[in-house]
Amino acid sequence: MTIRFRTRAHVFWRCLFLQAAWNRRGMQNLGFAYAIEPALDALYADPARREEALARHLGFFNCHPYMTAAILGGAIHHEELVAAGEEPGAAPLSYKATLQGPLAAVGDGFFWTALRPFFGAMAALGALVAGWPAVVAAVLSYNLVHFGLRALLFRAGYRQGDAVVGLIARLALPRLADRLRAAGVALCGAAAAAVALRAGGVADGSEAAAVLVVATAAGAGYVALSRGAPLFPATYLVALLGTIVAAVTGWDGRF
Amino acid sequence: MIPLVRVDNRLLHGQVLEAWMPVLKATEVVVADDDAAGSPLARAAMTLCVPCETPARILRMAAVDFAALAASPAVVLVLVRDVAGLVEATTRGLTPARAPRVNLGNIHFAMGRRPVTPSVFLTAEELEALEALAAAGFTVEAQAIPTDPPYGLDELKRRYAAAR
Repeated sequence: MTIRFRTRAHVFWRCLFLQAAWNRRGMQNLGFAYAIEPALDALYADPARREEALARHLGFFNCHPYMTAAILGGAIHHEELVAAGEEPGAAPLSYKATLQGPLAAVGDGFFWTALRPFFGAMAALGALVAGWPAVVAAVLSYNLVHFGLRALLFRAGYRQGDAVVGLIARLALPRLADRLRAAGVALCGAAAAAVALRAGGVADGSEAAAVLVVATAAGAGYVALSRGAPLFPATYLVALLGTIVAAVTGWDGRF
Repeated sequence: MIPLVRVDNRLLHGQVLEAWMPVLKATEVVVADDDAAGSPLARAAMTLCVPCETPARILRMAAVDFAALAASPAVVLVLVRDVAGLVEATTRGLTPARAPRVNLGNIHFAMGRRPVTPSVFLTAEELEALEALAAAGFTVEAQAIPTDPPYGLDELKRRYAAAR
C-alpha cells in the first residue's frame, strides 16, 4: 500500500521538530521516530508490527535537519516495501545509516556555511539601505529556498528511494555553495561601505583618498588570503596595524 | 603517509571533511569498510559529499594496501567504521610504523556500551582490544574534532570504570 498525501504532509510537518528531543545517546533518534510515526501507523494495522517498526527507528540518527527530509522520504519509501513483504525490516535502517553522514556533510556545507551567511549579509546590507522590511524580506527569501529544497528532497526521497542521491548530485550544492560564499563576502563589503557612509566617516572632498585606502586594503587582503594566509590571524594583524597607525598619527578614523 | 586512522560509525561526514581534513592537511581519504564498499548507495552518497579536488576511495578492507598508503607522498586519512574494523586493519597490514595515531571519533550508544566521551561509547571487549593496540605501539586517543581535548587510553579506562 502507499501512504496518502495527507499522511506524508503530516510527516513533513513533524520533521520540523526533528531536534526538539536531541540527546547525546541517540541524537535526533526521538525526533526521527516522532516524525515517521504517522506513516508507520498508516502502514501497520497490527499493533505488534507497528511497535516493532517504531522501535527500529529509535536507533541512533543524526543528520542535517533540512537534508533529513530526503532520508525521511526514503525511509517511508522503504517502509512501504517492508510492509508489503518485499524487503526486510533492516532495509530502512541501512538506508538511514548510509545517507546520514554524507548528507549531513552536504547540508552543513551548503546551508550553514553558505546560504545562511549569504542571506544574513543581505539582511544586514538591506537594513542599512532600506530599513527593517529588508530583514523580513531576507528571512522570507531564505525560508523560501529552505522549504522549497526540503519539500523537493522529501518528495524525491519518497518517490525515488535510493535514486534521491542522483538528484542531490545534480543539484550541485557544493558548487552553488562556493558561489554563495563569494557573493556573501561581497555583500559584507557593501554593508561595511554603507556603514562608513552613513556614519559620516568620509569627509567631503576626500572620497578619492578613502576609496584608494579601502581598495588597497581590500586588494592586499584578497592577495594574502588567496595565497593561503590564515583568516583569523590576518584579521587580527590588520586590526592591530590600523590601531597602531591611528595611535601614531592621531587619526580619528575620518578621511 | 597516513597521519591518522579514525574510527567513526558515520564514516565520512561533516566533522571529518570540515574539521579534520584541513587540520591534517589531508589530500586524500580512504574509507576501509566492506559494507560501504559493497553498497552502490553508500559509494554514491560518499562521493557526493567529498569536494571534487579530494580523491576519496571506498575500499573493502582486504583491498587496502596500508604499506603503499604509508609510503605514498599523499596525506591519506583512513576511516574505519568501528573498533572491530580497526582490529581487522591491523591484521591486514596496518602497523604503528605506517600509521602511529588512532583516533576514536564517533562510536554510538547501544545496549551494553558505556560512555567514555560524549561521542564515544565502548564495550569492555573494545577497551581490551584498544589496550592491545596501544601495547603494540599505536597512540590511541578519543577526540571528536581537533578543537576538543584528546583523551588518552588511561583516561578512557578511568572513565569506563566510572561510567555505568
